[in-house]
Amino acid sequence: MKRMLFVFIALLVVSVWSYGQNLKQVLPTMTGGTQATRAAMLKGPHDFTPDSGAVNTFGDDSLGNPVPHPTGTGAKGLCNYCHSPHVPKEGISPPLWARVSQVGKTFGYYQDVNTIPSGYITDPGTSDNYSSFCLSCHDGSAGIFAASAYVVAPFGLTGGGATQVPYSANVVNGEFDLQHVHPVNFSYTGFATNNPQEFYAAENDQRVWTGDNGSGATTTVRLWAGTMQCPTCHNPHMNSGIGLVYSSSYGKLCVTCHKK
Amino acid sequence: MSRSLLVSLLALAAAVAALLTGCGGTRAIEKEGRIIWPEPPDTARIAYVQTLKGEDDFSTGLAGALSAIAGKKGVVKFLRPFDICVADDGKLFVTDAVQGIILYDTKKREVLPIGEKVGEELKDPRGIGYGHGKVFVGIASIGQVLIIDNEGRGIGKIGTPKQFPNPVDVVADTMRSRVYIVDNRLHQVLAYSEKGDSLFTIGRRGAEDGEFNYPQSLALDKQGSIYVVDAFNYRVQVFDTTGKFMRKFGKQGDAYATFARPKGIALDSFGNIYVLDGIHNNFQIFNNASDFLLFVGHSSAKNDGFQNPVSMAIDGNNTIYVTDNLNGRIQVFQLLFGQRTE
Repeated sequence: MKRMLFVFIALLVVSVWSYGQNLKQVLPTMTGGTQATRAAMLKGPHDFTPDSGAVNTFGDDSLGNPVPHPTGTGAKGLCNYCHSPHVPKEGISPPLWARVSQVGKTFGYYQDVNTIPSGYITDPGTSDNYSSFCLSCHDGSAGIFAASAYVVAPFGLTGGGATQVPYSANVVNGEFDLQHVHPVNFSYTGFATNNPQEFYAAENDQRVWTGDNGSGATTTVRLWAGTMQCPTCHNPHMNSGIGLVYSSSYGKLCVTCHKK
Repeated sequence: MSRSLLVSLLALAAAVAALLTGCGGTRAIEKEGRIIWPEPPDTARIAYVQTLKGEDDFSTGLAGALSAIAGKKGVVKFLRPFDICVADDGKLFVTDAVQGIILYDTKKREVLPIGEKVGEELKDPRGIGYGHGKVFVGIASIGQVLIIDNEGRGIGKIGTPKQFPNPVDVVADTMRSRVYIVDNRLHQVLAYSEKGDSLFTIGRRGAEDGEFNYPQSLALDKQGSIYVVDAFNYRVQVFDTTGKFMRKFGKQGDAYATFARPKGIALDSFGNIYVLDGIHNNFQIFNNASDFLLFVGHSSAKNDGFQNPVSMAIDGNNTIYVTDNLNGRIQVFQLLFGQRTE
């Protein structure tokens, strides 16, 4: 019995450690810590604060705490719009029409502090992928152009209107027309394996490539469970433009995957 | 040793599974082919009815085979449906980011891309509303609201070119012969007469009462009160027929009665308020005192779920229509029993 308990605790420790490792993989998009990320995003395209640039009401978000929870309420937090805070289930009245079957339920997406990257990938061909999260705005609503019309979701490589890059010709009224976009939410690792003459093999199922971005900083062209998603190329924590992860030149980003 | 390891592994797997799926929300059960919410022992309130995909829905039998031979099969189908409104005589009008404006006629059993007849640049259709035989469609590319008839012929326009940068919802108030336009770039609700005369404007960008941060959709109750989804303030605001702020409810979060990406809104005949959420992938139902009643749906491509649902409408029979954007379909539900119970 004692031994069983010991083994269980050991496994628990291992799983907590691997969860921590998982968190670390998420952090490259947070280069410079949350303070720097926040500063970079202020007044950028993903700053949705009502006065676009308000100093938000964060609590302790020192660099030692990589993923702080906003202590502010309502719309004032810059991060809240995507990294939605948990709501304690306690204190919420049970649904009046489902006093038994829906008591204490939450909707699942925010069980993880890194909600979007690690909480979203469960089934890359159908749903719950990172790109779906982006498309919850870039469907013609908050993102004014309906990228969802052209992104192949769900999913595959043969959607309408895809693959016209670069994007620089697509600026309309100061916003990016996302009607000519690259396919997302497909298995890059599988695709590259099947087409080795055209595509470079991924380093692993978390990245295609990592290295110097041309200006001395390290960049990573990331995959999620081997799949290409919007943030493979775009860092959503951008200050302006389309936030390419390898921004020194369009071509250099392309050739991390494409051989020709 | 190996047995205790196995037991430990199983226990750990169970714990991890509980952690991963335990908060997944209540899913509908499929009983004798029916999908209903909520699950027993609670009383069933909402039932899944059918999925609308497009022309193929009516392509059965000989007619379907003939049109298939003629190469017509599935020409018109929903790909990225955005907004939906219910008109008279079983007609549904839908905007689709790929297909433009679609008339889905359940009585005549036909699906028509009516936008082609307007003779205008129809790129980026957004909100769509219906009243007094007219269809009102917000078009982002021209920044105006088009008025078209049942057949798709252009009748007129509301607004000057580029006046409405992103008219995400358009709703007709037939009692007052008005049209409400929600624009999430102006962060306003704009009231017009059906002829296109400006009446009044609600709000500006902000987080105070009566202000908006990316308003997304609008619905009316029987008294004509105006319910607005104020998406990035994570709330619903209610205004009277003159545009005066009345009340609000909702907050951001991951539990029920909270919003993550609130999108569509509709009311049933009992005055219950339905709010669709593009990240929670469900709609939540509140009564008119803002008490939380039920949620319906989860992230799925199956018939009990949605993937980025955008808009919803409820007709006079309490039939519920949801544009299921990334699944490329319209999901239809029926309210079975809507009265308040205490």
